Amino acid sequence: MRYYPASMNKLIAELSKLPGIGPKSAQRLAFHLFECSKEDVARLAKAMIEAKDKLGFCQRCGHLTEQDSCEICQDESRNHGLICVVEEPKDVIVLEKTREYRGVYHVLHGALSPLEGIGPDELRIKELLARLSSGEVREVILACDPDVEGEATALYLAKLIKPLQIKVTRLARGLPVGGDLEYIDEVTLSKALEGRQEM
Amino acid sequence: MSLVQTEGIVLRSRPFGEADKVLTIFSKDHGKIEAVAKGARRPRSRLVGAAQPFSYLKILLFTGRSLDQLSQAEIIKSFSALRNDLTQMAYASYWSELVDSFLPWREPNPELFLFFLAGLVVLEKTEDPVLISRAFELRLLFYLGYLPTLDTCAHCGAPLDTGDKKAVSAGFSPEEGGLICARCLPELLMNPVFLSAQEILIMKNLLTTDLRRVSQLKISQDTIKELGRALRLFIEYQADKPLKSLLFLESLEG
Repeated sequence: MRYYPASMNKLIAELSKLPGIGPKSAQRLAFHLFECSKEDVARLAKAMIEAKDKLGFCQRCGHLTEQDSCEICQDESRNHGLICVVEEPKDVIVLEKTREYRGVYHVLHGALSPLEGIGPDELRIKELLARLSSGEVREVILACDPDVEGEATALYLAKLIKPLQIKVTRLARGLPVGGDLEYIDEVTLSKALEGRQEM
Repeated sequence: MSLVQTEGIVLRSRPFGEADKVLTIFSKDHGKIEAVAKGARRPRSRLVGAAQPFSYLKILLFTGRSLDQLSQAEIIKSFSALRNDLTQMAYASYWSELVDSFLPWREPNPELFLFFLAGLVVLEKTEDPVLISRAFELRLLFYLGYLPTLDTCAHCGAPLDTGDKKAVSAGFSPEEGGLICARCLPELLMNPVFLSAQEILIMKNLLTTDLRRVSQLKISQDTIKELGRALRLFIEYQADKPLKSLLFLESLEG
């Protein structure tokens, strides 16, 4: 792109590395940043550096935190005998938004994937087993994604945890709230039939 | 640009963009193709159930200038049992990766398609997929024209009398492309795997036995292991890369 001065080119190149940002969007963002006041740009840059510097993973559950252990793990009012296992820190946020769950979490940082060659050693499974060995935990909820990788991860974990005499449950799969039965795909619908509940 | 209707089995799916998936599909009429399933990562999408690995689908493809688009997909058989058992899922992934690595783009291979489909049906019902997987590997290599030579020496071409049980064992060299007779063995640069006459016979047997009957064959665990080692070396040599799903299988067993 010889149409732009070098510094603009550099900015566009960096922006287009972001997910979902193509060359056109990168250009638009670059122009926007150029038009912003210097303070705004500095604040953005500072926020990025700060997030990178301060954020880490909770030593216990693997969720995002600025300290050694996250707010959820430190919260004594939560039920520490109930662990919900998720794939990514993003999933913790989603579950927290339900405001229904009062247990704690364990983030695996991924899922088993044969086609990507991700085996059990690449996930935070050892850490989970260590937490379970304390004897405090009564139930583990497996909240992996309902795709092949998530399914595989849930099956693997269930096999590991069951012998420890801890209750293992997994999230129900079925109809989305507000959906239309006519437009539900066959696989989901058969899962919904399988997991039907008495009223 | 046109609409194409065909049947296909999803070999793999990877996330694409914000809510889409790119599926690698082994289709009956067009061979291995890649198609975008728009919105397949949204829970209310019509494609969400279909866009999963191992699904056997009736598909309507919209072929454009760039990537093909999956316009409609109807599930013929979802093979959900393969996703509900870790070992079966690992083997189904391995088979999919094998087909994916060896099958060229857009070359129809209806024979292999039917064999792969039948293979998944057998896999879904079996409890011990190890031996069946060996038979699958051999047949797959056969359909794709990669079958190791089992009747003649891959180096000098002399016939090998492996039908005779008393016959001496032979070397098996992935680099040469199959069995090596005793005379040629010293000339090889790489160390071959040694297979006994019986093991060679079993290999030939596996090649012709119906997949449904493979589990009835009485073969010792040691032999199965030896065959597995030889075939794996051969497959990884031909594929020119380590297969990730094999590493995964190992990590499950180890």
